[in-house]
Amino acid sequence: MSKIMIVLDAVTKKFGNLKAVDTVSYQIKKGEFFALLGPNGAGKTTIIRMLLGFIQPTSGSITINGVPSSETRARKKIGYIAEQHMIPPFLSGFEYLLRHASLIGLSGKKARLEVERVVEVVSMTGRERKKSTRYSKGMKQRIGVASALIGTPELLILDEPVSGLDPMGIRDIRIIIDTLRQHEITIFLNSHLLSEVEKTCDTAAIMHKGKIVVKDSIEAIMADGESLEDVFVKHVTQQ
Amino acid sequence: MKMFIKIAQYTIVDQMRAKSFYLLLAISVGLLFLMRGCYSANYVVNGQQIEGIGYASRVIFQAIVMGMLLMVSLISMRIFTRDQNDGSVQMFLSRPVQRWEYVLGRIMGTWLLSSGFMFLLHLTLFSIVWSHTGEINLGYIGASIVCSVNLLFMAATVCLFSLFLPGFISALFAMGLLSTGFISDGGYRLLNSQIIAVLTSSVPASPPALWRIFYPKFFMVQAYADSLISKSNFIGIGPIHPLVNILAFNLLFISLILIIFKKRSI
Repeated sequence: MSKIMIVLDAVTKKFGNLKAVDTVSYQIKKGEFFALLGPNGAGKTTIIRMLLGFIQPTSGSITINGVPSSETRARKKIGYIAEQHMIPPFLSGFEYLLRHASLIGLSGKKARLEVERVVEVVSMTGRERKKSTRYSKGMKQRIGVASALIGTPELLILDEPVSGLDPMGIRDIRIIIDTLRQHEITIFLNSHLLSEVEKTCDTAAIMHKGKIVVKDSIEAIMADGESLEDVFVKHVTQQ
Repeated sequence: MKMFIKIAQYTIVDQMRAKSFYLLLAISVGLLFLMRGCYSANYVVNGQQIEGIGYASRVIFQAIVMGMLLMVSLISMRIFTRDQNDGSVQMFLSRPVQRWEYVLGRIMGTWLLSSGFMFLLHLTLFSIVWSHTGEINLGYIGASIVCSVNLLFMAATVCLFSLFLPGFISALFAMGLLSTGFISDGGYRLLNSQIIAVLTSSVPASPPALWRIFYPKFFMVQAYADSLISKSNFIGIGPIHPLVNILAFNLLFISLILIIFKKRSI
């Protein structure tokens, strides 16, 4: 079995004349905690949307666990948290999670037990049956994390999971993500919080203007005793 | 396939969550009962006495379909934009759901719900007629099923337009398409009716223009449904049966939605 979870091979994505992603190639191993960094508009979210098959690359290929990302079966074992996770307003957190469980093939008691399990992981027990319109941003994000954890995914794609959260919310989400590391899940994190990435990730890539400018282990990136922030600023301002 | 059914089921359940759905259903059924005065009225058309209940119920039958076409257009115009705005589309497509399953599930769910709603109203009408006359006219049931094809057409048309246009404009365009069909086919039927034939006996009836034969035939489907209730002969326009015409348009429009949605960015 392959030890590689994600392969991006010369991936380019154009929106009209704009090259949002420019010939990006890299691999992420199974169990790796990878962070994709970059300023706004660097192309990070475009890569995530391509990983999920929401958009197709203009050229190049993406495979997840050996399966092209455009195929439905590539998403069988993926959990995804969007930046500012949205929950349909007419659903409660519980109903939303039950739908996720149903969409991956769980039903009846199995689905309910799985939902109860993930609700507990994100500390939302007792609040999961409220309508999502009554949730704070942090609560919605927790439900988002819970939805991504349903069915024990092999790959978690986190797009700015702590965006807009208060420090307590950020801490809580970080703790949840930290516990996931013990389960050897591959994590693809798109984040602006460099200090968090420095603490939690194994590898990182810095993207700027659609290109990968650095990709290495966190230790190697900060080899000269610089902080990740210093390295980030240096690469982004140099280009 | 399983996912498609699941999404259709979610669509129905989500629409039925709204209290306004039940309120609308209750008001509609209530109105049908309130209109019972119409059934015992005397109608004279073209100097001939018309049997009151049969005539009134057929008019009301058509009015229900018109109301349902309006309701379907209002529901359909928001399907894709609402899903994009509230995260539903991301919820479905980040899971092992194919795009065609999502699209078909949404359209079929809307169609089944509105057809069910319409069927309930038609069933109420059927029951009223039955209780008044003691005659079981199963034509109402058949006619309701026939008219549901028009609802699918409306849902598919509005959904197709909504991929390019704002929701409300899409609904207006679809209504425009429907109105043109009504004027064209209604006009054609009127011009070829007995009264006009008597008045213009010297002018031979001209064959319909090609566009009239191929234009979506909702009016003719309605006329066909009416003929099932009145048990009269149905005369359409051209060699293609209106049901075949509308089903072909349904197939074409749904295929177009699937092709366009497949390439759409989420």
